[in-house]
Amino acid sequence: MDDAAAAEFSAFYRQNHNLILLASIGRVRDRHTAEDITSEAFHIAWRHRQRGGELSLPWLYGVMRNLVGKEYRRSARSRRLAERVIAFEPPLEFPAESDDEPLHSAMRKLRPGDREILFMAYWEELTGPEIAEILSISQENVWVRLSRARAKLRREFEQAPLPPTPLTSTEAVANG
Amino acid sequence: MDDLERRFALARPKGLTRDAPLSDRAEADLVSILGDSPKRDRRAAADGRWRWPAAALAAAAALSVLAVVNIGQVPVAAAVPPALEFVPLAAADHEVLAELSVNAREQAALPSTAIRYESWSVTIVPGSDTSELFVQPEEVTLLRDSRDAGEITVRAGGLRWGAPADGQRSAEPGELLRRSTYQAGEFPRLFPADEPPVNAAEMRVYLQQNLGLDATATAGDYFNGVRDLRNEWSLSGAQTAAVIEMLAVMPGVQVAGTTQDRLGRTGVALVTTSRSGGAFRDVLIVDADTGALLTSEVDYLGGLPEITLPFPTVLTYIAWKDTPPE
Repeated sequence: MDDAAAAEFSAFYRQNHNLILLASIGRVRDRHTAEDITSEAFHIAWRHRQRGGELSLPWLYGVMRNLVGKEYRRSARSRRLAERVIAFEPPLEFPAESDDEPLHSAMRKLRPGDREILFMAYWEELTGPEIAEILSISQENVWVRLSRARAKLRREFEQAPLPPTPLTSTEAVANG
Repeated sequence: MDDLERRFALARPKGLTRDAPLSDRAEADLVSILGDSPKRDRRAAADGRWRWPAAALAAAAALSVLAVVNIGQVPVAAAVPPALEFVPLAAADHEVLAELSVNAREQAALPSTAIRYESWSVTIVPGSDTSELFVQPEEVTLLRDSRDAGEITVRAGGLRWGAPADGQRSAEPGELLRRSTYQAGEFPRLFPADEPPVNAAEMRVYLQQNLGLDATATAGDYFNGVRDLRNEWSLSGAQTAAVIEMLAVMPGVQVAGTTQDRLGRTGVALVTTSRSGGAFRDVLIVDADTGALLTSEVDYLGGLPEITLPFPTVLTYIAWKDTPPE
């Protein structure tokens, strides 16, 4: 492989590594596992490139999804969920890196497809055209689905019971 | 962006954005990926075949993992399990299923908190034309106690089909691949701690409730539900009979005949192609004498544009082993 190919791959790697890591974290909940998946996805990409294959974000995203599916099969937690990945219906669970439990709770009530497009737009910072290409849908459809997912999230969030109001420092002292 | 959208965006992993600098690990990975490419590429160019980079061996050792090329052109034994062969039975399907059910109910309960199985799944790489590899399944043991504490151990199985290419490494059979330990109440499970039901109607409701199956669920969905259930429970004879009786009355379920599972055990194969418009064939292989579930397998028959694998091909199988671990 010549230097130009390595340079091209390096640029592709630097441009997409954090995105794939973010997307992996959104699916497997465990950052260490997500890092392994990301690493393996780029190993596969490099092999693909060496065989003359074209590298693109949608292709790489698809590899990541399949590796996530494999991880679920490996973990033996849910064969059913793994097959959803095979059928391209991830993500699987809301990741647990933040402590915003009301938000987590609302997200868990959404359909996988709604969660996925929210992750793509707000976590992974994918553009409309990028989401459209990855999901093989039109940009108009992206906006429709994103709007619908946002509305559902807002509805679930507003219907969720309010979290307990934090005690003021005075109340906390009074209650011992 | 309104408040909720901002809140959602803030919930993502700290400090990680698309254009943030790469972590040390990411930088090291890049070096590792590119590290030995010139030598590898000369070999690849010489014989037209891909060889795995040394740096990828750790990932490759994760096994099971084996992609397929064109199953019509490449020797099947080189990459994937061969297609199951069925020998039709003379009796009608309902007669066979009834006999399996009776045989199952005659079996005593086998109280056990250990589940053991051999598992393998294909890896799908979109657009890949890879001609790797070898089939090395995993040996999975799940141990769970009454407090829902336990561990899941995964070891490398033996090479079943094909052989590693030059420069490629398979794991030593028995090599420990992963072990996860769970404290009380932490063991991952899909089903409640109470025993599964022993009659068909209740079994159907049980699967519906615990797996979210609704009125649109197909027989294939229930096949997969049974597989999930068997992965968590060593089913008693009565519970197995309930499974068989439940499947027996579902549209699209057929008795394909006798076959040998991936461990060479002879059983009766129940099949359905009811999922995704016939894109998948779900198979359950049952011991003819005891009704016990031996194997679950999913084959891809083609028809889904997002799956680029040649077809038909085996996607995954699980072969349960009843022998308790040491």
